[in-house]
Amino acid sequence: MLALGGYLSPLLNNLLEPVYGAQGWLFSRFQSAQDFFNASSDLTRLRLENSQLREENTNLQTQIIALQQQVSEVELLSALLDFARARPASSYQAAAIIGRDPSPFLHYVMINRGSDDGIRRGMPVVAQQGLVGRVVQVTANAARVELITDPAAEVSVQIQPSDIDGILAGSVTSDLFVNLIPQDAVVTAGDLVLTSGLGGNYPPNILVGQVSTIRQDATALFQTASIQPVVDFSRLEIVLIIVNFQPLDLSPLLTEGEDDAAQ
Amino acid sequence: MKLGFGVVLLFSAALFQVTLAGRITLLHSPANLVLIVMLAWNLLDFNTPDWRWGVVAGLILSLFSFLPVWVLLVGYTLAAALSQFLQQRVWQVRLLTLFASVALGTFLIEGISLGYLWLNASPIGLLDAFNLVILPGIVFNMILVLPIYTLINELSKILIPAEVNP
Repeated sequence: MLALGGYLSPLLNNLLEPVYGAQGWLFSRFQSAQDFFNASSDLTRLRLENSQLREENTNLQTQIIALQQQVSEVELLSALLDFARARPASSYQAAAIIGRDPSPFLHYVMINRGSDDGIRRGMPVVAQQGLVGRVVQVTANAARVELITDPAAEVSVQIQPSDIDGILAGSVTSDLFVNLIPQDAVVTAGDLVLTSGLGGNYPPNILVGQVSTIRQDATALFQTASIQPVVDFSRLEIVLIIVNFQPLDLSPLLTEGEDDAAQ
Repeated sequence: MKLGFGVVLLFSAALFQVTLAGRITLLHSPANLVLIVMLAWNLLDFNTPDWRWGVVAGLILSLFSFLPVWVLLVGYTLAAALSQFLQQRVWQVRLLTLFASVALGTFLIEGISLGYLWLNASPIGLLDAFNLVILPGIVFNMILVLPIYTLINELSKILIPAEVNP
């Protein structure tokens, strides 16, 4: 009756307060003890999980790098494909650059296509931007390409829009020059330089670069123009070889001429 | 074992030269890793300097270069013979010999290459060749001498310990 009337509540509260306190203390100690004993297995599991996640992370990063490389390769190949589609008359063989000549005086690169792939000496080599050079040496599975920046390289070119012919020459510093421009010819910075096809070593109308400066000496017979090449030769990775171009061999004509002169 | 290790070392240097190191230049000259490796190997403490390592280096490099074999053979053999002469007749301190041989060897090799190209009517200006290729090449090679010498020395200790400490 007293309990139902609520008269015992203060008494019960005072009695149960220490019991609840003891219960809470005991529970927290038990929890701590349980955590202590379970900690070692949890730590092992966490470490295992951590190493698995790290491994997964490394794999994903490797995949990202591989995919990025593939994307850049695809972009490059699609640019080369665009170049090839724009010139349907020519047949191309793509090749990767696998090395450079160790001599600083020779600007040659090695490509991973050779005579087994139909590559022959004298074939012109282009990139998606323009002219790169020509094949000078071929083995079964590789070939050597002389870049147009080589000091000994010479290409017959035409400066547009004025249709002036000249000879493109490389240098040891990889700078390009067009020599033999007549003194009265009007050449301005920004004019385009394309292959002319004269001499039969390169097909006509392949872009080489742009005129950057012109050197005109009143006492000289010809003007010289510095050329900014369209191809970045330091970043060349993949090139196209024009396989259906047959370079002209003028040496028999020259020999006959020499023979005639001797007679 | 020592011979095999030396050949593998030179071949690796040549491969590294044509694929990667050739792209890194000081002005217009890349480092000549084959020359540095050949001379460093030739002048290691446990090796007796021998000009024939120059022949090996020239032959290996001729696989990768458009220059004729004889140009490379003469250049590298002279550089190796020079290091042998300097070590035996001038300096006993091998590092000093190495520095001098790399500088003079670079000059010799590039000079012979340039001479050959000139004879073949390659229009290379002497001043440009000297200022933009040969001199930077010497400086670049000198910078790499010490790290490469240390690397080869340590590699030899690990890979051919019986030869290094007989």
